[in-house]
Amino acid sequence: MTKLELPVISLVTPSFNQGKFVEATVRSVLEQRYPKLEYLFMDGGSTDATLNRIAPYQARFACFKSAADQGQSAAIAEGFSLATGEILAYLNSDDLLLPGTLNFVADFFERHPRVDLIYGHRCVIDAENRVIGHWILPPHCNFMMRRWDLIPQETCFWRRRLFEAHGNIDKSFRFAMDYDLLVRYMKTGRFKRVNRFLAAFRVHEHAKSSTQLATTGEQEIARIQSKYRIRDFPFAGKLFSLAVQLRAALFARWNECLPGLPPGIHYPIDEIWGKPDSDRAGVRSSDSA
Amino acid sequence: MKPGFSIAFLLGVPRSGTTLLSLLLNQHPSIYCPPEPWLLLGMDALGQVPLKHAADPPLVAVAIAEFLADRRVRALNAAAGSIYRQILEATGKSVFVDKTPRYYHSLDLVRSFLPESKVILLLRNPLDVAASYGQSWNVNLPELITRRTDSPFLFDYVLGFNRLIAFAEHNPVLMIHYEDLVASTDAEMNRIFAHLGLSGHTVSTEIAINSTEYAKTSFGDRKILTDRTVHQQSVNAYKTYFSRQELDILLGALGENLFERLGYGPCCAEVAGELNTPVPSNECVELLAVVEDYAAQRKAACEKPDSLGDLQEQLKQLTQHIDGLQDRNKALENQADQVQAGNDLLNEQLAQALERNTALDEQLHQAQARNKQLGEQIRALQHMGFRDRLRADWRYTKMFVKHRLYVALWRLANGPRKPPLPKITLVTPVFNGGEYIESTLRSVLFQDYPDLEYIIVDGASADHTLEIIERVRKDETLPNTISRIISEPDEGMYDAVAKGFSAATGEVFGYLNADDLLEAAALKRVGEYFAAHPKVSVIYHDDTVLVNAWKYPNVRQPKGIGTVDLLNQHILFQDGVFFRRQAYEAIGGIRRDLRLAGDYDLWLRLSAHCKLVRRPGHVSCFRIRPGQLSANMGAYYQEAATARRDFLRTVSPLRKLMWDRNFLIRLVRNFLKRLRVENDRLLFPIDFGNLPPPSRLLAGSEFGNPSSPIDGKPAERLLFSVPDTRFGEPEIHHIYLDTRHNIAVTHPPVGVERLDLLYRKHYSSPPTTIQEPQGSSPYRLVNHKRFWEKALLRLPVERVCRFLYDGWNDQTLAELKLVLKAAKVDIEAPLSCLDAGCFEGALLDRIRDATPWIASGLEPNEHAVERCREKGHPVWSGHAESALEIIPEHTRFDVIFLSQSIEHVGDPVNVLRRLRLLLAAGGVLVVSTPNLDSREIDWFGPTWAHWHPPYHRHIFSRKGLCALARKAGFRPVCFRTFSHCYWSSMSLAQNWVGLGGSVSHAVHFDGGIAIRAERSNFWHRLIWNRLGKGDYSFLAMRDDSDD
Repeated sequence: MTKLELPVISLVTPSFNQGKFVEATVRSVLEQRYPKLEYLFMDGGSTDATLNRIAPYQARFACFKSAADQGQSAAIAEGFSLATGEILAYLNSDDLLLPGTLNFVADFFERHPRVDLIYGHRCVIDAENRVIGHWILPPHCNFMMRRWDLIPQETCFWRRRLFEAHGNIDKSFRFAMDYDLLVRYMKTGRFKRVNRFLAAFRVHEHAKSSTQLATTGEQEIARIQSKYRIRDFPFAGKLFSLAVQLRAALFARWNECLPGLPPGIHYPIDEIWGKPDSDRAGVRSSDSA
Repeated sequence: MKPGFSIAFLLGVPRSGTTLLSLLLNQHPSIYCPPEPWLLLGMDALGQVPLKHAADPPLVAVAIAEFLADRRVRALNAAAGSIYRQILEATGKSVFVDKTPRYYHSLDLVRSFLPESKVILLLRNPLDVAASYGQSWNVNLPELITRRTDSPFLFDYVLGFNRLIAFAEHNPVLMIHYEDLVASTDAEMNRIFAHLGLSGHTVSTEIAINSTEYAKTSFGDRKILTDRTVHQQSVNAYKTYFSRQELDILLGALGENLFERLGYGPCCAEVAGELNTPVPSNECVELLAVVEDYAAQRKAACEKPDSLGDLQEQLKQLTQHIDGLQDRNKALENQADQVQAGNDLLNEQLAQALERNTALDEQLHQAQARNKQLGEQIRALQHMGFRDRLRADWRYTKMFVKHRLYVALWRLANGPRKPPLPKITLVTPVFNGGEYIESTLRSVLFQDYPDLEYIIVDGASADHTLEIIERVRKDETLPNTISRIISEPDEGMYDAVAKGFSAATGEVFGYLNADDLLEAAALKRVGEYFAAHPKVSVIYHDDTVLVNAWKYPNVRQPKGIGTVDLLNQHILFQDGVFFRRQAYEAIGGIRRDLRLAGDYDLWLRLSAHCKLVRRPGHVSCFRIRPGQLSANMGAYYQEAATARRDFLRTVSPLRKLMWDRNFLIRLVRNFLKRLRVENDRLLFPIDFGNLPPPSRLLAGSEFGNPSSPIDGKPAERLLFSVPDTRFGEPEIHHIYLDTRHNIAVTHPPVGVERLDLLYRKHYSSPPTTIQEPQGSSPYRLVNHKRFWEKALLRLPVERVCRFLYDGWNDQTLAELKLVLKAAKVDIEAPLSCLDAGCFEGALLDRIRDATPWIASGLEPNEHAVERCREKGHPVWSGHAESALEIIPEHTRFDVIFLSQSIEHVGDPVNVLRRLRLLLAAGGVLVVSTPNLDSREIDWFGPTWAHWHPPYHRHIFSRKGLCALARKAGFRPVCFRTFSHCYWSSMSLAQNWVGLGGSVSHAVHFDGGIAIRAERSNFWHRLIWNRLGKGDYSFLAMRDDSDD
């Protein structure tokens, strides 16, 4: 069962001045212990502590660039054009992968050769690394997901064939490049929502999603919808979003559990890596006679 | 000297006109007078070479002095003479005149040429000489004189005149005055020629100097080159040249006497007369002495070239001067530094001020911008039309609704807001309770409750009770403090309790006797319940009993105890009852006159006033000790009867009638209840048949905080107490139950060091015999089998099953394969497999022999690791918790098997989380551990072989194990339970000796036990294993989604 031929996963991280969070991101990727990881770190010439923070891990990047670029989408696009992996994904420099994610992704694509792109539920953390909520998504449906930008980007992993058929990230977007990309991929790609948590999405005051959603974000989403001739229904998007939130609230309230995360809410996300606790006893040998 | 040759010397002070005279002499055909040979001065200084001379200069001087010795003057004389002669022969003349003005320095040598040679002394008025110095050489003699400068010009003026006149006075010298020479040249020249013994010759006053060698030399008077004739213009030149003061100085330098001797007395007198001051006589003597001294110094310095003399002095002075300058420089630099430092400070302050300024500027800008914005908003609002107003309202409404929606969702996620915890007042009456009071106090103060009021009422104890209380009060490590201590004589325990409650300020009351204990998190549970249920006034709990360090759960309190039960002598244990303040005050408080049954009276009256609510779990522990108040039960019941009578007197007959009716109903209900099967399989109540149990040690303490491994909340129910039944260690441990997840927790936990020590101690020499206890032992021969189970176990099935299988074989691999198969793992593939806790590698051997898997191990015990490696297995040494650090990166496993080790771990969640990172894509983690749902627990109770404290920290049920997997982020895939003859026989052996004895793992069981074990194993395989009630369980978990 040991797969000698694991697929190469190429992960691109665009980074610009997220020195507070970038180390957690990089560690969450490197501590996956996935042997065939190709990690591309594209820094946009950060001027804060970013470079100092990632200095210890720099040797483990397949590609590291630190120079002024034309924004996040350009950095990701450049990363993808350099990537050689069979499976592609990108992870923003404030988000985290959950333990075991890359293993799962490799195994899932192995077991499901027809699936082109997978995504999972979203786990929301705050600046203090505490889990503050979830998004529990319904099984994938092109009709819905095409209309409303609800696919959690950080949990998306797709095959190279999709990338080759529909191209790279559109550099002209500043905010909704993931939505644009996913709508394009949805044309022919077979999507799948996996019923587990794959990554954690950070909400903090300097995140793009919290600062630009109302301005650039809405304009760009409107632009995408007109570009692909997507017809929206009034209120329906809001209701859909509300339903997802409601499901997540009940998920937390009823202490439900899905693989990838322990049940409950308000616990520190670092905990799930099982950091050693020195004052507790270690494993003992079996004492069978 | 040979005849026909003669030598003459022309002496005189410089600037006396000696050059003029020598030119005049040269006009005579027999005279040769070259310009200034300076020869004698050089001869005189023979051997005095400069310091830098290549030869050693002192040696040169000394050698020559030694060589010449006292022949010096004569030798020099002869040498000079021969030189003169040689030159004279070359010119073909007969008289050589040596004209060198400064010969006054070597008059001795000149004198040695007398009397053969002739000497001419040319004198001139000193004042004119001085004027000539000034005019021709720019030498200011008066200044030199006043400053007494060490200069050759001063020597000329002072020494020259003095020495020359003195020489002339004592030797045959022809003295010529310059004034006479220029006035009557012929007469004077004739005098000279006569003196030289030559014929007269008329000299011309026209001097054709250009034809002579005087034009070429640099010596002699250069001025004479411009004057073509002898003239008298220079006579008395001083009169116009010098000021009066300078004249005075010049006169004083030589003195009147010398002027007289030189023949210029009248001139001197005339000048003095003009000046109107007498010429000072002593000044010239002084000056002469000074100048002589200078000359002597110079001479000495020349004679001793090795001593640097005044040069050294000067050097020294210059060095000192330089040093002084350097010091000043340094001081200035210091000052500069200080100034610089001050400058820097000011600069810094300036920078800070500028920064502040910019910050303030920014703030100002922001404030202005905000101001502007607000102004615009105000303007917009003021000029808003009706439609805009409506639009704004609509926008606001939308925002409001959205906000409310989010708040509602938030509520939904977080549940209803928790009400604040009430203040709990706990009263402890104590009288001479020094033996147990400390653990009571600590068990209360150790509680993690934010609002506790703890009042201790002491009846003026005569022993060291108060000291202990004081010591505990000062213990900073406890989270709570004693609020109040009342110490005065009282009229018994209930008087003390009443006193305590009258001083109380809390919302919820309870009292704890001085030898009882609170269990972990008791107050929190009580407080939370009262906070969540405002209508409940009184609650009571199940109780535990502490005897000789063993803890037992007491018989369970039934639900819904009321006045009826209390009137019929049901006893409510006081330490588990808590009530609200208003209920206590409504019934008028506790009766102070009762000595023993005060609590009974209180419950009776409370039950008449409000409903009593039962809460599950244990909050307190009642200590049984010899000599306690409740030991005398007869007296207690008597007093209870009095209290009951008093109570009944106060209630109406109608109510009494109601209670009587209720009593009949209760009797019937109790009878029916007895027919029902008891459902609580983990209740092992106090074992009165084996009381008192043997006294045991407590490891850690009697109270503590056993917490659930899943969420860290307290495990609230006590199951039983047990010592080490494997090796017979005397320390006792309590087993608690986390009722939310069904996980048994051993308390107190044993530290890693102690566990390591125990393992090391028992690894090499485990006891091989069953150790039986002395005297009574609790839970001996516990047998909770149903009658049909007993019947089944009597059937001789072992005779059949011996042909079917061997129950004593190690079946771990078969079980593991079964579980993996059920988890949809392809077991025929070459799986990479990690056996975490592989011990001596028994499973690894089997895997190598029977499967295509590639197995490696992880084991903390070094001896066991060595054994494994001897067998050739790849085994890492270390705990599973540190597996990530030990096992090299990119080594990953399809199967990780934790065999009988998760129950030994302090923090099982983190162990699973870390092992999860070692799983390969699609890997499975399999855990095997004793099963809390085991049917054998029902049969054997606390004597079940797998309890095993302190080595087993947690015993998991299926629910607990699945919760553990989920907590670690896994999805539980397959749960199976199994049993083994060995463990059944171990349980049987242990059940036989009870908890006081110990049963080793290495024992070989005798026939009877083995047969019974085989029988029960058969039925387990047939029934219980399939129902999830086997002795131990396997759980396979995956790290993936279920689709």
